[in-house]
Amino acid sequence: MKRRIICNEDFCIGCRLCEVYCNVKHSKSGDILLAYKYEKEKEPSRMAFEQKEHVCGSIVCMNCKDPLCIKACSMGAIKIEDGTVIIDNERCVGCWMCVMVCPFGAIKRGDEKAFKCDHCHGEEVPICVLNCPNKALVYEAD
Amino acid sequence: MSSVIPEFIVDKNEDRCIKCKVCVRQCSEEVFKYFEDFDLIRIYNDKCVGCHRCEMMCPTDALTITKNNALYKDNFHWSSYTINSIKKQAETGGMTLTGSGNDKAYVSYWDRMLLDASQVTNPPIDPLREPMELRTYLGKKPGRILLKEENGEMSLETKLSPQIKLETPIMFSAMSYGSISLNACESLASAASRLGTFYNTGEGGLHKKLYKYGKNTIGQVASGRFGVDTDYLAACAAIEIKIGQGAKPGIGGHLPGEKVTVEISETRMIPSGTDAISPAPHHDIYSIEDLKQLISLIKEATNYEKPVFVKIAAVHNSAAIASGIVRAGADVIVIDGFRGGTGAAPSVIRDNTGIPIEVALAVIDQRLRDESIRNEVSIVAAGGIRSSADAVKAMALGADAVYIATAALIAMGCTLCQKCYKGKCNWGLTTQDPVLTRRLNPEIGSEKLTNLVNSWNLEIKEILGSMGINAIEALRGNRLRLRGVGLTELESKILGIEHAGM
Repeated sequence: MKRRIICNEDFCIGCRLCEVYCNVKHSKSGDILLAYKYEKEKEPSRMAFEQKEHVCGSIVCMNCKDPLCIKACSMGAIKIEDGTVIIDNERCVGCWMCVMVCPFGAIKRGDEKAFKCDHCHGEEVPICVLNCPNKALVYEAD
Repeated sequence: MSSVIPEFIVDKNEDRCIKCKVCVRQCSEEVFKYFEDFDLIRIYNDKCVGCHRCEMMCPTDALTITKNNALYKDNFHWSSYTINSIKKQAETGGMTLTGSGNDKAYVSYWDRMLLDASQVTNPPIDPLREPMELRTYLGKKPGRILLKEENGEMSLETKLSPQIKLETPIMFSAMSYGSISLNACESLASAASRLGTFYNTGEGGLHKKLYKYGKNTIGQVASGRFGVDTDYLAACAAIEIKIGQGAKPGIGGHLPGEKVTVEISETRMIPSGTDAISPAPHHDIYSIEDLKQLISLIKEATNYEKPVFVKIAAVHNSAAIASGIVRAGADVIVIDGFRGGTGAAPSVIRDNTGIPIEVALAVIDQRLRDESIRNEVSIVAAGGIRSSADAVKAMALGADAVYIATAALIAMGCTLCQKCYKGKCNWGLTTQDPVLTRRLNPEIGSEKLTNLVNSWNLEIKEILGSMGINAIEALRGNRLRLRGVGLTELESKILGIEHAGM
């Protein structure tokens, strides 16, 4: 089993709604207005958006077959579960080695722990893909 | 300082705005600007064209675009539109330009015609239970058919003229690559191929990516002759000579040099960065005899295998012109009514030139019948077909098929803001800016177009069923199934239909 969210940069329109919905999905309330306007604790988005001139795209964890982050993690905090690369918050000590080695820049620094896309806790289709207005984000699960 | 009052007001509800800045990123007119130091999204109403992109993209419905109701004091004669036009012209000294079709309150005869239905003596048909045929063929039909018998098998002795087969009587009208984006062209081409119908290249040539849709392509040859070569003629299923366009009869086209990108220049076969000017007339056509020469030339070049269309704008003496076009050897006549759209035209032409398609269609069909040459040609009606009902009424008035373009653009996202000529279309349709063209994913565009035509197909079948007809060809020119409401005696006579109650 391998799960990947792929961005077709030919059709990414740079609206960054994927980030908005990612934030909402990982908020406490799960409601867009509450999450943005009232919740105090806010997690940054798990999408890595990049833009140069007219070309842009959002990159998230590709769930590599042989992930460099697993090799780099000295705490053994990263593992593959059902095709998804997962960071164990209990074990992570925030050394940021995984952040350094990820070739996609898909792992981000939180306040103390590293975090990354979790494919919406194994939901059938991740929220960013569902809400991409131009179908630039495509979900592949095989 | 501009003396023009903003046409629209962009209202942002601060209680709902989450400062995600989608509006800032999406508006190509730069109505929104984010000031980081103040964490403020500043709105410039004067730049808003009313396309509603921001409103639709805003994830919290915080934006509302409203018409500026305070736009000058009410005046029946001097409307706000008129006052703003005068002010703009006084400022610039230029013609005011516009896009899409005539939006003025002229009568729409589609809305003054009602369809018949069967009751008791002529039972209706249930299209869900019985077969309904929407298939039709465009091209010259023989006056009589001779059969021959060989070894007990019957075959056709009469040689048929080239025909194109339509699985639905709805085609996509001419929009060039240049006036619309390649993604929009690809959406149309792919939808036409999925639907078994045709789209038209406009005068933009055929991009190499679109050659694979050749058998669903009508290639246009217009006054600029852009993109026409033997490969182009060979790839397309039919060739259309464009004489005029409903939105701007008697006016040529002008694609400014800055829009002529490398790909467009290759497709149109002109140097990149140069203006692509389609002259108002074909400089080699000044008479029906000249037109006949071009038709013959194209037929010769395509080995007499492809029907040749001639497209004219609906104007005062359309019927006589149409008769001439048939005699010049065209296989299909396309009539484009005054509601037809355009990428750019002087407002004064778009709003004041041409005649309604309903009238032109009725008089052309009648004239060709009176002259016993109606079978020599198929008629395609274009220009402002809004729904399946309009299409059915057009066919009852005498059309073989209809062209839709504005409806197709709306299906792909267009909101008729009429700013096509600015080249900054927020929906990625009438633009060549790479930031904007990517906003139309051809996969989505094609699916929406296919859905639109499929739903019209279902509706047409329902309408035919209610009339007790099981094939679209049986409705063609059947004006007895139409009745007028609120028409004068003269209007009814011209349209060739009885008034309701008769």
